Amino acid sequence: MEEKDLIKKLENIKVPEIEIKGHKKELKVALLNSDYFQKRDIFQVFKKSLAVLVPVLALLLLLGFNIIEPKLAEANALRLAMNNPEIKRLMEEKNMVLSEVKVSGEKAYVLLKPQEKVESGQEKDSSIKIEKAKENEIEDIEGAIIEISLEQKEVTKIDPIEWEEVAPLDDNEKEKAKEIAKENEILRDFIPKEARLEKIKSSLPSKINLIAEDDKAKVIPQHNTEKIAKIHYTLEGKEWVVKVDLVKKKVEEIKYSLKNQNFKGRNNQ
Amino acid sequence: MDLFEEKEIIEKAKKNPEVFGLLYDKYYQPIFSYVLKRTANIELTQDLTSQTFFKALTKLGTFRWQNVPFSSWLYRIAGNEIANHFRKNKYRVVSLEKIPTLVSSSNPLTEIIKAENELEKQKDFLSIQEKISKLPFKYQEVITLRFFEKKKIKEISQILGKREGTIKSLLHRGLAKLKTFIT
Repeated sequence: MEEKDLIKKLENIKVPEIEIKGHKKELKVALLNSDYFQKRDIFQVFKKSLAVLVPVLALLLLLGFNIIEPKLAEANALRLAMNNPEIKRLMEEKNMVLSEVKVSGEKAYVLLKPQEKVESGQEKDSSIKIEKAKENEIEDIEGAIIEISLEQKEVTKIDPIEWEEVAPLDDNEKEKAKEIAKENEILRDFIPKEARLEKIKSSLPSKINLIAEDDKAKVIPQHNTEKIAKIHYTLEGKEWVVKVDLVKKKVEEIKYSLKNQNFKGRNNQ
Repeated sequence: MDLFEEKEIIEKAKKNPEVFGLLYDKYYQPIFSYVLKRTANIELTQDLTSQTFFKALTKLGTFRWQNVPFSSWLYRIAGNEIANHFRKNKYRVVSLEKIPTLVSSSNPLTEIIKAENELEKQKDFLSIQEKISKLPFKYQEVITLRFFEKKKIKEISQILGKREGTIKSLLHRGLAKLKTFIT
C-alpha cells in the first residue's frame, strides 16, 4: 500500500461521535465542588496554616519550658505520636490533627481527629464537598485513639474510633438522614436512583473529648447538639458514602469510588 | 471566542467556578472524543477524561498564557494521561465485557450501554485503531490528531509542543510503520 492510499483511507474513515451526557454532568458537579475553589480563598489558606502551626508551636513551647512532670509526659506523648510514620500519614493524607492528650499510669492516650472546619461565613450553604476515594478507602478512618507507652517511649496501638458503637443512630434518625439525602438535588443527579442503600451509621462529630482512666481510654461527645449520619450506597461495583448533618439538615459531603480499574482497552502499549 | 477573549476567561476561571464551568462545557466533548479515538473504550474514556479535567483544574492556578488555544493545553494533558495509563497497565485485552441491560432510559448505565453498542458498530475505525494502538505513543498521537481529530500541522505542533518539521517527520514515520501492520 502506498502512503497516499493509506492517507486517503485514514481521511475517509468514519470516526465515532459519541456523547455521554450523564458523565459530563457528573464530572462538572465534581469539578465545581472540588477543593480547588475552596482553597483559592487566601483567608482560608491562612487559617488552615495557622491550625497546623499552632499545635507544633504549642509542643515546642511545652518542651522548651520543661514544666511539671505530667505536662512533660503529655508533651512527650504528643512528640512520640507526631514522629510515628503511620500517624504522620493519617495527619497529612486525611487532614487530621492531634487534639488531646491524657495520661493514665504508665500510658498516655492521644486523640487523632479530623481538623475542625473553619467557618468563615463565606461558604455557600448549599456547597457540598465531593471527593473521589481511592479503591478500598471509601470507608475512611474517622479518628483514632493512640496509645503510647511512656516507659518504652513508643506508640503501642492506633485504635480507630467506631462512632457507631459509641453513639448509634436510632430508627428515627436514620429515616431523617434518608429524607435529607433524598431531597438534595445534587445527590439526585450524582447517584443513580437504582443504587442500593446498604447501611446508615453515625459518624464522628467534630467536638469530642478524650477520657482516660484505669489504663483505658474512650471518647465522648462534648455536647449532644451534633449528629452526623453516613449513608452508604452501591451499584454495580460503584460506591458512594454521603455525610448528612441531621441538626443542620443538610448533605455535607459525597465520597465515591468508581468501578475497579479492569479496563478492557484496545491499546496494548 | 478569539484568543484574547479566551485569555480573559481563563484568568477569571482561576477563581470563579462558574467561569471554569464555561470552559469545561466548551471543551468536554472535544477532549472526550479525542480520548475515545485513542483508546476505543467507553469506560476508560470517561475515567481519563475525568482525570484530564481534574489535572487541568489542579494546574489552572499556575497556567501561564502562551498565546496558544487553551484546548491545546487540554489535549496535551489528555495525551499524557493516556500514556501514563497504558504505561502502568501493560496488558492487552481482546474483548469488552457485556453490561447487563437496565430498564430506565434516563439511567447513566443505559447511556454507557448505548455508547458501547454505537462504538461496536464502527468496525472500520476499530480495526484501524487497533493497529494504530500498536505504534509507539509519539506516532499514535500525531496520527490520531491529524486524521481523526482533523487538526492541522500547526495545531498539532501547538498541542505537542514540537516544531512543525518534527510533526511532519513523525507523521511520515508513523504512517510508514502503520503500513507494515496493514499490508
